[in-house]
Amino acid sequence: MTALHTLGVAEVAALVQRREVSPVEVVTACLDRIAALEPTLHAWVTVDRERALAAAHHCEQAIQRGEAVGPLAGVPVGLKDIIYTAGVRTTAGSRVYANFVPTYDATVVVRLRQAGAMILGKTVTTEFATADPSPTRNPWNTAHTPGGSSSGSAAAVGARMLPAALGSQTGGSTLRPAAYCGVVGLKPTYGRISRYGVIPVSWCLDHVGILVRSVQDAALVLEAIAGPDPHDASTLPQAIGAYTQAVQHADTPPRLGVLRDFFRTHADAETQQNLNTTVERLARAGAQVREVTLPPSYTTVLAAHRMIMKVEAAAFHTDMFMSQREQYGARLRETVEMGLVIPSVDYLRAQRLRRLFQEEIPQMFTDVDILVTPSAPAPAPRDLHTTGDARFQSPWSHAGVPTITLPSGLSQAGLPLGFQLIAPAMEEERLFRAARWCEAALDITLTPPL
Amino acid sequence: MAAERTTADIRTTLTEQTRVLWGDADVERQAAALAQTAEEIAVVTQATVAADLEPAFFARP
Repeated sequence: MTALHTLGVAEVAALVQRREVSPVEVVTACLDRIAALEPTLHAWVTVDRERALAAAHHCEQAIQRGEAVGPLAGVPVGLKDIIYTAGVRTTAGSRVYANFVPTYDATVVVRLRQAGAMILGKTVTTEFATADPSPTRNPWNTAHTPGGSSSGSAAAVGARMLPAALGSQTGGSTLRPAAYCGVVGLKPTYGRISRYGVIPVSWCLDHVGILVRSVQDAALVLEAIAGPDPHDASTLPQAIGAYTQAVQHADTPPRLGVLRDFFRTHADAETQQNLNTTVERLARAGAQVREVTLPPSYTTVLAAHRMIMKVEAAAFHTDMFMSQREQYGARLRETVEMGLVIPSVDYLRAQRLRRLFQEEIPQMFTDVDILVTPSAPAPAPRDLHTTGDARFQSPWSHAGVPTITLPSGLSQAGLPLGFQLIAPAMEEERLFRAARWCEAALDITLTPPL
Repeated sequence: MAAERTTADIRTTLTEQTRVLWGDADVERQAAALAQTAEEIAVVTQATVAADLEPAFFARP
């Protein structure tokens, strides 16, 4: 039988529902895998072995009694360590929060538990989910960054420590580490997943992200945690879509719009070649492919995004920063200090330009269903002092539109490459249909040499 | 008024504010960040924005 720690979300859920595998067996297999690899990868802040096993026994007993269980019953999940967990330390990767223990669960944690998921613990984040690198290593090559800020979540899922983990994305913090670690990363529409109980970087730009190893698994997790939340006024009021059904009805080849200009200029040769090969394969499988041009306001996107992020991060951190400035890492310190001196009228102009970009996004979808770019300009850098380049992911966080990265091969150095699919706001079902179709057409699963 | 500011003007203003807040040593340490932030502000302030375009903040994308 396949080793339990290698199974995906859908496989675990199905085996547990059919009583072919016990949640205790699955959780134990993942905990053993974590114990074996953690000294090398440093993906976890807290492994909550005792509570995870207690939850697994509880789930097992419920199934044995014939009780109805949720769609994620028995599925191990990790949580980025900026997500509140009642009674479990939530450090945000910071010395300032080193001993912080929340008194309540974030909404996403409540919903995961209601769906039957087994919370294994807290995964490593960069400091307050920004740019100072974490100690986590890339499971494909420990000399390379796993990306960030959801470093531990991406490395853990890539290393088969567990099938799913939550991250977050303000710039590129879910899709980039997912691509660097060879897994699937999803960032839905802004407001689709509640941010209540998630330590912010930037209120206007923050999204909860999902790291898994298949499109179907992303849909399953999103279906479990998405939806309106009275605790978070930014959540979308609409009912969530039928995401898993969308994945099951992915028979029609999508019309793909390849974004070149900026993305061609800034991608390295190997990444460009990989995207060309990927798009050619998809076209041969039946996808219609055409090139799409970026709208005029794109020239302001990266600058406006960085300004908004700096100002809002400064606003969140001001009080702590004034009293504990020496506890902050160099890059976050720089972010906060710059945010404190950006004029308020310029911040507001950046917000107005963000709205302009959002209004211009539909132009790009006139003749296509989905946009395509490389997920990152290059594979994971061989440099543990950086988390990589966010410029290919942050425009879509800026706009708040849903995106997903899928693996598309390995570089000559043996590192994962990925491609990013982008849909209009609110169109997660369209994104899932296209992503599943592409996933099936390419049939690429990357397994690190561990 | 905003469009008339050059990147150098913006950088000077940011630098003086940083000096007041954190001192000379910090200005030196943050020189690259100040230059980058000034360039970002210049891009944003030099872009055309319609008078009736309001910011969206948490509005639905």
